[in-house]
Amino acid sequence: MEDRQIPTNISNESREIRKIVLETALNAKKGHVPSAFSWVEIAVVLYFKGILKFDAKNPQMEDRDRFILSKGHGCLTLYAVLSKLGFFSRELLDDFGGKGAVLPGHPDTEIPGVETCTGSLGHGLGVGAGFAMSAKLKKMKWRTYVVLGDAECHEGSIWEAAMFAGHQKLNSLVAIVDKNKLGATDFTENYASVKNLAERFRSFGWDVVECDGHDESKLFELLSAHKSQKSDKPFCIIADTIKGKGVNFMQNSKEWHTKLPKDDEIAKAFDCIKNNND
Amino acid sequence: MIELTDQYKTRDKIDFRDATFGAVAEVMKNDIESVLLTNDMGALGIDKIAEFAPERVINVGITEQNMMSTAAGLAMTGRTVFVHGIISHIIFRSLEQIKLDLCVQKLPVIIIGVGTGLTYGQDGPTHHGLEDIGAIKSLPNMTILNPSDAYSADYAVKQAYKNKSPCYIRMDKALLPHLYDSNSNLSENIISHGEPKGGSIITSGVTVWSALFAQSLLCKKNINCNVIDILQIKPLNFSKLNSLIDHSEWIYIIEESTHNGGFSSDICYSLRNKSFKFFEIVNFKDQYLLGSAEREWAWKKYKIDGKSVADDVLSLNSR
Repeated sequence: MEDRQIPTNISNESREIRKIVLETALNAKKGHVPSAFSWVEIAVVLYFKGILKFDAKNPQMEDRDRFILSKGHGCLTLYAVLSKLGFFSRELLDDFGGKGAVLPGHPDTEIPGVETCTGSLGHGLGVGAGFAMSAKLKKMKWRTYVVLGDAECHEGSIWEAAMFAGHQKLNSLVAIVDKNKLGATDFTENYASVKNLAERFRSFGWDVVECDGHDESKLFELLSAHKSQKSDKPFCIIADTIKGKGVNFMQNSKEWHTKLPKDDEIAKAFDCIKNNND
Repeated sequence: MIELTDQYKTRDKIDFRDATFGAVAEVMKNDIESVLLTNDMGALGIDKIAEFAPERVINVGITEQNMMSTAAGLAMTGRTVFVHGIISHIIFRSLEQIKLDLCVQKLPVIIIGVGTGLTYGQDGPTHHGLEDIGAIKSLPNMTILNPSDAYSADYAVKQAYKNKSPCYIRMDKALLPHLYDSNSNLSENIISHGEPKGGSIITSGVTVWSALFAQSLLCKKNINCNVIDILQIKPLNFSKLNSLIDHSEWIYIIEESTHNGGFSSDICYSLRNKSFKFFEIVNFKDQYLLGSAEREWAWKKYKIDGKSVADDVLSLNSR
């Protein structure tokens, strides 16, 4: 296990989202909780701090910003956010993964606020590049934001899309890599390193910055600044995150990819979330 | 060289690609939102489109997976997207993108694949289009059109555009005369040639020309049959097909594909409650064709050329 800590002040919104994520997963007895936890602050900044333009009552609003969670298995955070914002009711979360339920274990397009089906990794950046290409052709102002996993960047299709977006100068496209350093079974460093992701994106013609992926202020600063930037390149944030962030015994561990807390671990997990005990 | 009956030998021959991209050009002139993506696969017709819509003809490079995902993104913003490349590459390299990004979301993306069957037979199994129908027909929401001449290729593009959902048009490179014209009724997506008596040869795409050649040879031996051209493989017009074989004492299916890579299983399903004097299927069997499988040579070897089909029907009919 990597020995590292990122100091952060967890906001009320992030705490609330993690609580909903855990409640939803425990209720359904399924879900990729640590993968959902690692991008909570990214989601909160995008949806609650005014970065994304959207209308929860009109999810198909033409000039909305487009958001794609390419690492679809982290969808519990997306579902929690969309529910809190009123895209759909909280009751749908209670039926997550249920028989014939609206919310499956990976997002699909029948869910209000979800732009494309994700869950098989490596699709989101290409679809996002299509959105951004269309915006460029139409001279539309809306932007496209894609959250990728770092292990997802093993997929060759990510680099096909990165090359295309760089070449086409799709400067309304923003990729945020949730760099939690863990795949499904192990640390990426142990089987296929993604250590130099920033250099890789830069070499494909992107502007790239690295930051603490749990620092809402820094994420907000970067994403706000990008809205008024003049660069003709697509923009990538390599967000340094911790898989399982928010619950100390689930953090940065290869044991918890699909495992859920049980017995007295449940109370401990909620206690961690409540008291920022990470 | 595909064998033609005397009736067609002297007619002008047209390139499928010119007809197909001519139709795409018509669409793209009228629909200024439509876009054409290619994986660095050129055609004269594409160059002509680029002359009037340079910003809407995008060479994405040899990135088939990204091409399909990008097409999906473009289509989700209200555009019709044409995607072009060699069948063996754009179908199989990006099959998951076709499934998840296009078909699940029922997007108006029209895949124009060049290289049906053994169009590129001499280029080896990397370039053969012998299994693509089997793969693509398994995907819900997908329409498959397999034209047999330039006129039906033009029709296929316009039909696909009207569908506003994922379509796969299989495009040959052969130079062939018009089989159809403005008097032909293609609207039922199955076309019958000849009187409905005797038997039926059922086929699709350029093997229609094999079937017509076989039909002419059989006619000289007083064996009657109609040739049924399946223009739209999926969804298959089962009721029309059944009406066209209602008279048939025998069925002979020709497909330029592997055994499970074509459409014959759908015909079998359609006709499952009927009985015939004989029911035969010829294709390339369950195997890859290694080496230089030149089309004319391979058709003769695997007996999907007109002469072999006629000989086989005569033999089966005499039992």
